[in-house]
Amino acid sequence: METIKSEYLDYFENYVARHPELTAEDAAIMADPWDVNEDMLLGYVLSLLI
Amino acid sequence: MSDAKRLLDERLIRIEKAVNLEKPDRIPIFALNGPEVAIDYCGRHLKSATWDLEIVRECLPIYYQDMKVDAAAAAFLRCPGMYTAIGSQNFVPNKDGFMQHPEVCGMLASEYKELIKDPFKTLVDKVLPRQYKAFDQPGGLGGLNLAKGALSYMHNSRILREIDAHCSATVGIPIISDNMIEAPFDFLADQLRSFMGISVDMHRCPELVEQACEALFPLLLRWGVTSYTGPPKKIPAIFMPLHMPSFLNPKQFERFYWPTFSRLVNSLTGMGYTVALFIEGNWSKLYDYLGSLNPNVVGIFEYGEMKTIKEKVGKTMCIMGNYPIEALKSHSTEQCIDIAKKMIAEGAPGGGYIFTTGKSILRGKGLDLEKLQAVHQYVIDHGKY
Repeated sequence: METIKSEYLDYFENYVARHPELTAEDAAIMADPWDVNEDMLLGYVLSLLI
Repeated sequence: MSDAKRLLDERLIRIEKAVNLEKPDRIPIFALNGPEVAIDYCGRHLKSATWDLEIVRECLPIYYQDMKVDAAAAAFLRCPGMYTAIGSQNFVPNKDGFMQHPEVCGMLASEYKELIKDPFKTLVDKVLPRQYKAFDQPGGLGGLNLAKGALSYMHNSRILREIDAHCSATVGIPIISDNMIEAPFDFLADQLRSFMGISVDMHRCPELVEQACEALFPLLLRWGVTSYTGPPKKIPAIFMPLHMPSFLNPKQFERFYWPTFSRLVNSLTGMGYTVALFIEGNWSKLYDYLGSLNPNVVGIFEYGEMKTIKEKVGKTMCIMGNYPIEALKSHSTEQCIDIAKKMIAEGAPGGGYIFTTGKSILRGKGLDLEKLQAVHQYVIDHGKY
């Protein structure tokens, strides 16, 4: 499924931008931006607007 | 096995066969209503119930059992505790606790490009603070209020899911539609641009409207999947109320609504979900579009000729709805039954049909629910295949 590109949801991309010391190996471990909390956050925000 | 478990299993098989366009043992009956009518039916006060969900837990099973229904939707109740705490502009309680949805505009026309670039960020930064004034507070207070709303939302959602399970366990009612999502165009129209705003935008900036629907599509698809409990199943279906099409002309529908709506429905059914569409208003000019959706769709029709609906979409879509609830107010019991008789004769042949009302029954006041009981008893007695 498509991921959602958002400054407020792509946790790893935003985190790594502030932490240049992270390696490619770290990225492989941490790269999934869709942990359960982000899905819950998405559901909460959308539910307020439906 | 308890009576409730036996009933639950029987009803699930009945519903699944209808959704699969097969003939069940008899026509299933679906309760198209929120908890509000059950609270009225049991003589309880709605305002108290919206603040104390234990009252809903007490009333819903009684209503389902007395109305002799086979299935229901997940309990959905807007709780004023959450909406008032976060300063809601888009959902406000009236004097007796029923939540009203005024016409609201959460996004300016000049903000389309921001929405297209990063829809989630724009919803959080621009739309939420306009629709929920408590989020627009200085310092950490806005964030604290956002968290307060989230905690309340999760708390209420958990209790409502427990009430659904309680209805299944005590009176054998399966929940056949689960989470609710919207078509991208409806999401854009309802609370971002408003009914009036989107009507102007389709003329002034049509390309931006198309691009906004495309930008919102991944969020709504993701939400449909991630808010569903467990892996994809036929039952419960993902519920999608369709708001704007009956206000669009066919050209507008084809250009703005259909592309992302049909892709959303076909994506979900392709993954193994069933999608239940609440087809609001008169779609008689649009039946061919509905008939071209992939299978595994249930259509709950508000209006229309049942015979035409069956001919146009019945080969791929399980049909529900269409019973006029106005009849329960103004017609005799015999006349109410006659309407059901005609509807069954046109909708039921060959299977793929579930009996229910064309509109969600919101409140008990003014409706004679004894007539609805009589109509449902007629369907039970005469709806055998």
